[in-house]
Amino acid sequence: MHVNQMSDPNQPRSLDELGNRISKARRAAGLERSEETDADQSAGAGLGAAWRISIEIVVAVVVSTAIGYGLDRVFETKPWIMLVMLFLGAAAGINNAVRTAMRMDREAMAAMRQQGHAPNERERGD
Amino acid sequence: MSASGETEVEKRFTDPHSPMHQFEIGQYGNWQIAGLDASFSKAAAFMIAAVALVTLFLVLTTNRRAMVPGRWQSVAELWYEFIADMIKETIGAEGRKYFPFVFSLFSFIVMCNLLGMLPYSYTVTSHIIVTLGLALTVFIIVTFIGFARHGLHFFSFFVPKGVPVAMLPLVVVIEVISYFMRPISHSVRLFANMTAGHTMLKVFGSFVVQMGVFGVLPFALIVALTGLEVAIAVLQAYVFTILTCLYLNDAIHLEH
Repeated sequence: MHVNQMSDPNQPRSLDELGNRISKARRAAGLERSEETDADQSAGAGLGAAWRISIEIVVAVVVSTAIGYGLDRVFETKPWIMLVMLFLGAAAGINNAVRTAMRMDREAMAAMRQQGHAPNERERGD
Repeated sequence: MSASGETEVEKRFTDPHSPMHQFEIGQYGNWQIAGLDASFSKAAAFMIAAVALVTLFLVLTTNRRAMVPGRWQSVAELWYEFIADMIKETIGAEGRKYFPFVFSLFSFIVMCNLLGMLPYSYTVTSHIIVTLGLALTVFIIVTFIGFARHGLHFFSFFVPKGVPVAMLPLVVVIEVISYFMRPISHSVRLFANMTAGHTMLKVFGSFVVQMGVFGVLPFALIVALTGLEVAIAVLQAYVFTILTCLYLNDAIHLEH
């Protein structure tokens, strides 16, 4: 290999430039993440996230109310146990849902930090 | 049971034109063992098919164990690494031990979901008893691991830090209810997704027939929805598996 090759105008000037050209070609071929493929993926992931959180609340409220109703029939205390269980179930559902959301938030923050553009704590808000 | 003795609800499953007909369990033969109905059902057939296909695929693709993997071996390796990375990220190094369990669970569910996408097939995971069985298995194993690793200290999982003593009884009750709701939401999520998706496909399928020439419109929609359903089949298997990992992590590290 000749040292002269580096100064050839037809050759890429540096490895950085070569890297840029490769990643541009890869992005065009859909091999690398771009904003478009990210948006597609986040739509699917968003649906998954919505299911994960909403089911927690619905299931907790419905199941605990049903248990309360059953206990009411057994102890003949209609409707008191059902009412208590309704509120406890709602609390448990929200508890699970918030926990899931917080965990997703942590994961998203970790993923962003890994990509090198972490929002600072103030920007993030609550 | 004779046809005339069927109730309205039962007819919805046995009538071949009904969108719910695809969920009829169906059975081959009528075997009784010690008074219990032990007939070989369609569900059992598809579960065995799923296990057989996964085993066959993994054995055939990895039997050469080439240093430079071919295409098929790469698929098997990707499959392995996908689960291994998931465990490493959610549980950490202690999760290695539970890899076989998590990998089997994911492979079984994803294969059942995908088999259900074949025409005329049956979706095992569209029955709550199957998904609840899987979720309860996870729940029992996770609880067992929690007690085995931490002993009675596992109960501290239900007592969050920094709660005023006056609030503690209420908070502990809510935490315990939350814990016992997990297998139910875990199973309902998979079951509801599969049932809703497959019913929707069948409903749009009947529109194609009813609308004559204009049936082309729902037909185009079905093509798109089938693609979406395949994605959901994989996504829901993934969600079920990652939640299993998160529950394992809770039991191992005793944190929410």
